[in-house]
Amino acid sequence: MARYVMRRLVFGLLALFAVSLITFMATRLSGDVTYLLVGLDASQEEIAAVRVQYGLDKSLPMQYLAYLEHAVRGDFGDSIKYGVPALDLVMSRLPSTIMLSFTGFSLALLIGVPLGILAARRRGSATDLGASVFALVGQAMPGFWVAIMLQLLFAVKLGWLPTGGSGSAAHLILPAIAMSWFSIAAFMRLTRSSMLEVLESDYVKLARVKGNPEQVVIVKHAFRNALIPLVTFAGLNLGALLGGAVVIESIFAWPGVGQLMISAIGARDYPTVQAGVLVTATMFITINLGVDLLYGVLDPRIRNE
Amino acid sequence: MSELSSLNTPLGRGEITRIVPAPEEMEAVTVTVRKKRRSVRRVPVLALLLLAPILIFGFFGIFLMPHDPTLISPVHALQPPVFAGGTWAYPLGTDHTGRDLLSRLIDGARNSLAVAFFGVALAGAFGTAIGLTAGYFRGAVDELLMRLVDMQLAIPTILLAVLLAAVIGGGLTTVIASLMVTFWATYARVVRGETLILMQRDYVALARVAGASRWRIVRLHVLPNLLSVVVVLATLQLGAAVGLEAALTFLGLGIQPPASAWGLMISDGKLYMSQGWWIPTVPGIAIVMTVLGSNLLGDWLRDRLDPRLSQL
Repeated sequence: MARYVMRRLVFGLLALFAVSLITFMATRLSGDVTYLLVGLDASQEEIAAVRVQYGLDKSLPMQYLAYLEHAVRGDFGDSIKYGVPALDLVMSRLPSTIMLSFTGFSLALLIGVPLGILAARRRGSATDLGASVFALVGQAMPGFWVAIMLQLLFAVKLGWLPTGGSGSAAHLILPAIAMSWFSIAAFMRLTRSSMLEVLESDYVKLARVKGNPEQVVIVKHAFRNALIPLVTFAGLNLGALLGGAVVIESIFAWPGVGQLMISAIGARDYPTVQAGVLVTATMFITINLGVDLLYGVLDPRIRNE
Repeated sequence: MSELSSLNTPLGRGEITRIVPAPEEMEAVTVTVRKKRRSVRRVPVLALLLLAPILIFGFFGIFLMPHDPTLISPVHALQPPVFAGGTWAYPLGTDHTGRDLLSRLIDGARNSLAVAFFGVALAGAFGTAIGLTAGYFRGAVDELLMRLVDMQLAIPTILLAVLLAAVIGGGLTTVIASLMVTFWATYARVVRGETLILMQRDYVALARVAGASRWRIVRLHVLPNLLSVVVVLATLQLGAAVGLEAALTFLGLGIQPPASAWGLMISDGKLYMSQGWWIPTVPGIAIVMTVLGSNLLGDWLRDRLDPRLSQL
């Protein structure tokens, strides 16, 4: 197990390293950053001074090392749009994004998984058919469009909920549903197929033959084993939710990191976008590391590999 | 024989331990294959019904548009679709500037499909090359390439798209690059697994004994057998690509106005939905039809060509 944990940790660090390399390369792709810093009417002396000040006179690998050193200390430079440190800006928006993602994730689990179990238990019934059609169509609907349709129905037509903004529980409902929409369908489909496979297995048959009540068979024998693919997917899904937050937050004017990044793009505010990307990617990688470790706990075959 | 036994080999683990399956295993394998085959339709009716209009729009759009998709005509603004009390002059209604939604939908189909297709094709070519290299050479090359794949999968792609857009600005290049970055890793992983299995086959060993060159083995014995996997994967991803392109375009990072694209129609429609609910609704339905259709078609192709690939 110790070896497995080590390997995952090293991989997590490498992935973070890759993200930092990509964000660094991205700013250099845009051309000479000097002109962004000094403005177009700067004199040769000013340009040279800025180049030295920001280390732009050094070679690219050296520049990357400097960038990495600053990034590790949490220094991404000041936001061009707001003039405050970019990381502070991102961190101030992070709680909103976490709250929204977590609510969406919980919704997906609480609705998707029970629906999947129900569909698998009553295979071929109307419930099963209904749930499967929902899963199929639900997965084909893009999240941003679901968001707009929800706004249209519940905010514009019915007027039950606010179209956007934040501040109360009511503001959270529509974005959370929009965000979890795809995941509900995906969890439902995965739970159903995973449960069906397990229910066919010999140990579930044996558990039944032994005279266990149906409840015990489903929860203790079947669901526990059906859980493993679900855990892997849950990790990937949380990442997808964090990515999806970028779109959903912009639609509902939810004051999170995603909305910040999209508005920063409009203003060509690179430091903020960089800090946002790196913070979100770090969260995603950490979550997946946690999932990998959990996976090792759940499935002895993995940690002994 | 070896083909049957490999039916149960999990994807990505190429080792075939037993060439000849035990008799009871043989029977089980044949039964499941027969069961699968029976449930597969001869023609994927629903998928074709969903995709047909979209494909016709995409290919023959220019001949089908009832109006100029960019023609602004305030007199005809905000007309509802025909099923909601509108007229046949504008079957799907008009937007806030009086542009015909059906014409814009048809015009947008070409852009959306072309971008998705191009992105998936590039990702497929690149991913297949990587996976083939990893699976063929194995060892250190394999290890390195697969860690790269893992790393790619560890970074949420919408973030890369956002980063790309921040640097080079929104536009066709950004979308296509984002699609490629999003989808190549899956191909690499799947193709590697398949290559490992194929390299164990007797005909590859025979070709090698006969003195065939590496390139000849890859070209004649491996690549043709990868085709079905790649086609299935591409079909399944096409829907996702249309969805991703629409989302990026919606955010202003993708296809730019005055071109028509479904994502643009939705972002326009969002602002005017209180006056015309159909403006954002109509293009969304087109996206759902495309995604659902290509998902169903992909599922069907997979069951038809290669029932082993149920994990895809």
